[in-house]
Amino acid sequence: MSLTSLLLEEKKAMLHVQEAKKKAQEILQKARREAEKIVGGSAEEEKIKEVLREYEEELKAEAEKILNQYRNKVEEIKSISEDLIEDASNLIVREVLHREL
Amino acid sequence: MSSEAVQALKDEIWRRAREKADKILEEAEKEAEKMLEEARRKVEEDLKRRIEPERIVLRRRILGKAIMDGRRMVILARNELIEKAFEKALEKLKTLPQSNPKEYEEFLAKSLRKAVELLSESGEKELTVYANERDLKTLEEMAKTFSSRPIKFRFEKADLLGGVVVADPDGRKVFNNSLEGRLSSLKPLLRERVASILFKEVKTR
Repeated sequence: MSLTSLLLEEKKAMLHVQEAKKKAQEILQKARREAEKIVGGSAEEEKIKEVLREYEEELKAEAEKILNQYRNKVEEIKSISEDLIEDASNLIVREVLHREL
Repeated sequence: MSSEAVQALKDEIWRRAREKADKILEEAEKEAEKMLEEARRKVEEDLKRRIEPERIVLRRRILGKAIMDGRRMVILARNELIEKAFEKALEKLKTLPQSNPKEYEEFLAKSLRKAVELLSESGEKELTVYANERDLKTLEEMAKTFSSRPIKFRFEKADLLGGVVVADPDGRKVFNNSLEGRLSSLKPLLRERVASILFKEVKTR
């Protein structure tokens, strides 16, 4: 009697394991389908465009910074004193008059 | 077998079965996660491989243009200032006969002397001296100092700021020592020196 009930219990336990195996297969199949969907995703072109759009915005901001640096240099050049222009023009006059003819 | 012993065996059977089932499910979950991770990594790599060349092109286009535009702005600003110095020099040269007549006369005499030396060395006996109306009389007087040389001078009025242009009769040999001629021929040589005076304190590159 007790041996029979043990065998029955053993069978139930095996079914429990079988059930788990079946569930595991389902999990793997679902993952496989999802992975295929990810790899062959049709949204990829859109993703590329989006990434490039974002990168372009970053670059434009960087370009503006570069241009600002040059604009500062231009301002610095424009603020050069009249004295230096005077010195430079004196050099030119001297050279025109005195450089070996 | 006592009923307690049977129960103990049943419990053991179930403990092992549950353990095995849990392990199977746990491994399946891990494997599934690995599959998804691998798929995501593949997509990322593919995306990177496809995007990278376009990123490089974009970078070169946008930043390259900014650098080029910036450099152009700086060069234009530099040139503008250099031109301003040359314009100022030209104004000074225009008024030199009034502001410093002695220096101007020395220049005029030196210009004529050099022209005569060079052209008479090549055997010219007749020279035409071009100068502005104001300087012609002075130059005629100066020419008299070359009486030791057998040269015949002809003086012609020309639209010059100052200085002289001396030529042989058929105009094949010309010695241009006008103020504007000298300024124009010296300009390329002087640009760097002028720039170094103007921009010694400005890093423009």
